[in-house]
Amino acid sequence: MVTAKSENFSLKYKKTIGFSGKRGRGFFYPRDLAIGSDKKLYILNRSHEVDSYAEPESVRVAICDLNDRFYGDAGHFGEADGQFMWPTSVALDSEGMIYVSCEYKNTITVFDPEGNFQHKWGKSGIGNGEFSGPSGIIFDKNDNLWVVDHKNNRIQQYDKFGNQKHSFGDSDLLNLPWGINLDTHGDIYVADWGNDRILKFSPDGDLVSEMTGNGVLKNPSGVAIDKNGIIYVADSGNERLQVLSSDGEPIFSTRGQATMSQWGQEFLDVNPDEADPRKSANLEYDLDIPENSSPHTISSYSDKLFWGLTAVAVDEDSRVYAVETNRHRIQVFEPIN
Amino acid sequence: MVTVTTETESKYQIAHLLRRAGFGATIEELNYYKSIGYEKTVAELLNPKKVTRLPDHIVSRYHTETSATMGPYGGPTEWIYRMISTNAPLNEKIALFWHTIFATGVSKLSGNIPMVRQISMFRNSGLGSFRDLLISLSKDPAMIYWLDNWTNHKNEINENYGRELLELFSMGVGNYAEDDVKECARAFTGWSIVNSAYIDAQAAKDSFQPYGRYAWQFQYLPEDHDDGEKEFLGEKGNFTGEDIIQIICKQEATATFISRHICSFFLADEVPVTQWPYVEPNNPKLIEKLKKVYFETDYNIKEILTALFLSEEFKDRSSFYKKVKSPSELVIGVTRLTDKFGNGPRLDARNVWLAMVNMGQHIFNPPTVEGWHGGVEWSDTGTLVERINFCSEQFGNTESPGIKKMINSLVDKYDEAPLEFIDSCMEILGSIEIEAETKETLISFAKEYKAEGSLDATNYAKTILQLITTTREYQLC
Repeated sequence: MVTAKSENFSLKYKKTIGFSGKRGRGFFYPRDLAIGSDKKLYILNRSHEVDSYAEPESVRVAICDLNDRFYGDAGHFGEADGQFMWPTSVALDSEGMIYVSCEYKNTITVFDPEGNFQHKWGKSGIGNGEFSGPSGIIFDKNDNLWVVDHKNNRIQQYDKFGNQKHSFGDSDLLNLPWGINLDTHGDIYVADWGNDRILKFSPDGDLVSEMTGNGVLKNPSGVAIDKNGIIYVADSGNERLQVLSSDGEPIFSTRGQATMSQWGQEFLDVNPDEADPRKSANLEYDLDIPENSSPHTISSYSDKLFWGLTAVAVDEDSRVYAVETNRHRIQVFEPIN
Repeated sequence: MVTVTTETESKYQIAHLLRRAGFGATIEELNYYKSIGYEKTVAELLNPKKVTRLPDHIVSRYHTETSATMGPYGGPTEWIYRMISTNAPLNEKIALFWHTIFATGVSKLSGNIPMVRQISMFRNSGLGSFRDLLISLSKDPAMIYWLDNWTNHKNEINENYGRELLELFSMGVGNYAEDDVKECARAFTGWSIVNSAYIDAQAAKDSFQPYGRYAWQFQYLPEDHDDGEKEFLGEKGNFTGEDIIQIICKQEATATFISRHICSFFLADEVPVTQWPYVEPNNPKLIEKLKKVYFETDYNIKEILTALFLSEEFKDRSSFYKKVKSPSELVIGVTRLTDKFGNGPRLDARNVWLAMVNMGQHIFNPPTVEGWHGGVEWSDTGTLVERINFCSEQFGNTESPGIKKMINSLVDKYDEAPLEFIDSCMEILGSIEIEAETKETLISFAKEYKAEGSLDATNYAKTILQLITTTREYQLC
């Protein structure tokens, strides 16, 4: 087993992508992110229930790239085919087809790379091919889709057409798991949200190891692994990006360092009535915030801290993307080691 | 005189208490409280040992908006989940009580985070000293923006907050002079919020860009505070805001005002507060008793409520069903009984919020600074239809865990005579009572169903539950 070099590991903040927007450029309560082989970013936007009904297009997969170019979107809110209601995760197969899990409809919906609806599968239940709240999804190298069936506390494997191949896990092991990812060996990492840990499984579903970051993780919602085996955790209960060595030791963490994104700056440039008072505002977390406030509460006062951190992804250049639901943006980091 | 209370009457008193100090009760809750008796029930409601409810992180996993709270929905939803899942309903009821008096609305704030924090303050401080509560209210960012105290400057006062503090929040009109309003406002100069200009700019356009909204914070600006001498309600001094509140709390009028509010919310509907200078209260003797407690306990709200709930006036049958349930009381009460959210958060939580809105109560967004008038004004031809339809729909949903449980226990009683079956239903709905004439009508319906044989046991039970919960009496508490 490759053991990642963890001495002096650090992440360097690179930039922030996105700003709040319900259509066109922008994200609205983003929940997950997938990275295409063409380096495009597919950001799943969950929106919320009132705006979903009033503005169905606020629920969608928005497509952009690291250089702030916006390409378009796929899907929107609704009960019909090609629509989703409580979308939770997005994944891409080897042909660039876009897959979205919906934990309300208990479906996986498939779009082509241009965002056109192709087909869907899944229904409510506890049997084979059924879901109770599909959340995190990820493709392996053989184009099998791994699905976290979170209320059934199990992990299911499907082929890309929706035929179930494998299933493991139960409520003795998992507690409302959320995110899922794979390392270069095909081992499976699951964010066992309710048990405050990351679980590593072999491709056959055998438990390999449990990682709690020496007890620091709290409600982890997302996980990603780089080519060196370094593990990145969206430690949502702590509003923190926690980095673990390949053997699970905590080696670095950050609460976030967001700056103004290009899209955000362009908005401020044409809205001086908001930009001017914003310049003189104190939006940092060193304010006199009530004692014993949770990280989530502290983040609500701050511009740069993660707020509603839910997912993390790593690209082939080991850049790390952290998805913040409540600030409608992605913070990007690079490892320096 | 010693009042002898029968076991049955005690049960109905406890059910009455739970409707007023909570949102009604399930049969399991009632059985527990019956086992400990009325006095201990009062003590437990006011001093819950361990508060349990559906945790925030569970709710926000599914409902993104409950922590970012940009629109009109997220804050109320967060509160709704608390109200429907808590084992300490009086903590939420007291927050509702203060929300109706210190009415602050998201319509002006544009963003619910400060409102969520204000309601939390009511929840945490609402049973303590009224003086401390008024100080917290005066420092509350939502209130400071709602009543413009951030524009109340040393050299240019804004009287809005000072006026409402006296008129609607503590003493009532007619108990102070216009000069007192000005002096009060002077004492609160410099009580502001961090980033007020940016908050105002975002609120003006209801903007959520670029990165959503931020929590607000109180900020005292000493350079903007008028520390000169003031004359307020007959006293002179270099009063601060805290001093002003201390003086307010000492007033007889304040004790009367708060005691009457407590009676109006927990005992029997009064006329709207604007009519109080001209209309005598329903229970002047009880108000005098509560005022005494107010002064003897350093203005402690919990002690006043204890005195109220233990009073003969409260426990007497003449106080039962003397209030029209507010939309929140009706909707939360029904949702707790049906346990619709027993399996966790649901996408249609918005429908619980919409039901209240359609019945005339958009929590977090009262119509004016006077709050909701309440009482009979809750019910008009439109809202009554909403109420009845809501109850019928919720009690007709046999998929709800609470309904399933009720029906499971009622189907075994299918062979009971209609009168006994209806009594069983009313028992399971929280030991409620209806008038004899209404009951006769229900019995005749039940007899018809039985004679026709058109309903199986499940549908018979469901239908009777629907009929009972759509009666006039079920709109009262």
